[in-house]
Amino acid sequence: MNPPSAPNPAGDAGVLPEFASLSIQDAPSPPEEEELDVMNMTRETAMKILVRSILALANAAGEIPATPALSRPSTPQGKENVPGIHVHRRTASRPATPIPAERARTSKTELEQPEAHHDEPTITSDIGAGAEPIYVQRANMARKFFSKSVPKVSLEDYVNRIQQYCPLSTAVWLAAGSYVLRLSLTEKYVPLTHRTMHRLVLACLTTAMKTLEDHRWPQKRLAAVGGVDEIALSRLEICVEFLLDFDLQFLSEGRLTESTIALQKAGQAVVMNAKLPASFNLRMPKLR
Amino acid sequence: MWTARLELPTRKFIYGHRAIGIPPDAVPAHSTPPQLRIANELTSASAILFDPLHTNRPPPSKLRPTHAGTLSIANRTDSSISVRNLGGGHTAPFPPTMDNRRHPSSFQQLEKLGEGTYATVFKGRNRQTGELVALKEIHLDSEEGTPSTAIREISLMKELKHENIVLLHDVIHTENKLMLVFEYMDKDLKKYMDVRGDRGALDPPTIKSFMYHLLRGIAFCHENRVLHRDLKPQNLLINTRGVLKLADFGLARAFGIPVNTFSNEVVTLWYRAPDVLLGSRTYSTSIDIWSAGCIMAEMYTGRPLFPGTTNEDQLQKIFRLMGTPSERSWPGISQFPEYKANFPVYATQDLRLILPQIDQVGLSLLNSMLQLRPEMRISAATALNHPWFNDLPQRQQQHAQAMAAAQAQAQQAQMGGYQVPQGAY
Repeated sequence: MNPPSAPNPAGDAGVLPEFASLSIQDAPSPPEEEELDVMNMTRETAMKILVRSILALANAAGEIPATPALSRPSTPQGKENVPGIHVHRRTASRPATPIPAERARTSKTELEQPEAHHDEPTITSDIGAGAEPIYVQRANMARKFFSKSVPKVSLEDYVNRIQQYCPLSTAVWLAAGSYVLRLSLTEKYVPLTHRTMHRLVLACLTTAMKTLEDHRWPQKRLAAVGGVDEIALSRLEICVEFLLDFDLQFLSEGRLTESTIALQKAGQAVVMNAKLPASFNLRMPKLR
Repeated sequence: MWTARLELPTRKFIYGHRAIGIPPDAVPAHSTPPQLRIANELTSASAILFDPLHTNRPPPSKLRPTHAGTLSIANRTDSSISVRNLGGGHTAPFPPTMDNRRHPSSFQQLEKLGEGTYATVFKGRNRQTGELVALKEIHLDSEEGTPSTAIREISLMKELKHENIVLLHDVIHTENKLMLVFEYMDKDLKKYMDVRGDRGALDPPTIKSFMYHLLRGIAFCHENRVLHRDLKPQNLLINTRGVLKLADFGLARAFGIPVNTFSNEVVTLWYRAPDVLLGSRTYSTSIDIWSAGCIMAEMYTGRPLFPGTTNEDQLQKIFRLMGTPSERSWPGISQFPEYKANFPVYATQDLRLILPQIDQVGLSLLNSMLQLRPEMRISAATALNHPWFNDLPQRQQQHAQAMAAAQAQAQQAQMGGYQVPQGAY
């Protein structure tokens, strides 16, 4: 006698987060370090911390170009090289959380064209197993986050859009912020610039949602709201997971608080150290 | 801490689906790669002229193709390097890498062990060490990206290292699948009961030992603020030394952080706690304890304790044995979404009637795990101190170890002021 199959937590429609028309402009400023309370923080405040710090870091970084591709995409030789055409024997993932019809509508957005073609080979195909140095692979994964030019949609509008159509909880926003910080500043895998920040935020949010939440927005919806195609989102997502070595959990409130403070401080530090504009020219008052 | 090596996305050579990621030195010598064919035809004047009739010198050695000598790899930029493995034992040196991770292990895929809801598990062998492993193959589909079950399982099992939790060795990403490499376990508890048990029922000493391991694993998860949410005999693995370990963390989640509500669709029906069946989304660690209680009873009888077919049937089977709860016995029960005022009313039965083999002390532990009200259920940590485990040899051993450790610590603290830290000079 075999027990029934395991349930699918995402299948519970009751876990769908509330849709609320919100705007982070109206959210109060995030509190300082001492008062930071991740357990009772609103989603808007978490979003505000993320947007502020990422923008400050991206402004400070300036323009950093993507690493050139390892090789030109070549003509696929076998079936294996072509994404999308391989037949799945079975679908590995279970269905996402069902969305009531009146909320199913989303509007599409377009990010700028990616720098990397999404099926650009990760390594040249004639290399033996694991032979490619890891830093070369990492540089290649980093390429996938670059837009060809700076996307027209501002980061603030972008996260507002995501939250409007795919609401995510405080922990997901804060975790995504911590992933971005680790990818860009701590591990220095992906430069955080105006060309990379949109894709970084989207991929980190997707990963954080799947790691922490029981509900799951369909990949298609997230991709449409985020302005990339589904395959590209899946590739970005797995890059995040591997670059972070799957160290994605926050088992205690303390770890989440710590990483949030680190994110806030990083943002503040670059603002403090930023060069003053040339027009800002102090002079001694003339003595009469 | 954890020192796993995660393979980054690489294209792996897959030879006839038998092995994943064969390192250069594992390529069989007899299959000369085409690149080497010309090299093998190279010869020298002395080799052509050599004739054993005219000399007693040994024949000249064959010319070996060299690769490294002609390439000054160190001077090239990283992005243009294409270090080719020529096979046949000739490897070109790799440029120095920034990480000095050890060379990736590779695994030979052996027979299929089982098929789960979202993965296939194979037996495997580490090509370098010969060690047996379990390979869990997860297909990545482009529609939903990486399955959240896989993300959960990998990220949580990296954090949870304990002797009663199955060890995750490695994660390998190939073209369109993830391969999770676990320590090899002999069988799952279900199969163990079928094979070893008397019509599925195990002997009391084995049950006590397994329950202790199970509760230790659960206690460790809960200490680390992780709920397993799918404990059942199929997800508990036993190794050849009779150690039970928790596996399959695909439905597990952390509960110490500000996330949205919890899903109500968790835990396989037969092992699902009554509060979850009543529609609760505010459950906590006690749901794993209910499952553990069901598993304990199942080990005694060889049959599932509450084999329900639907949500309602499951509740009814539970009430028939444990008694139908009311506002009086469970204040607040009428507030649950799935609560019905017209639940059939049953009186509480004595568990001993269906479990005649169980002893009095064991019964008291089982009863404290199978409490209908979640807040009345015993915690895993408390259950480990239950008198039922007093005569367990492992527990006495661990107790002695803990005492010794505490003593050593106390001693160290006393000497603390005078100790010279090692490596200070």
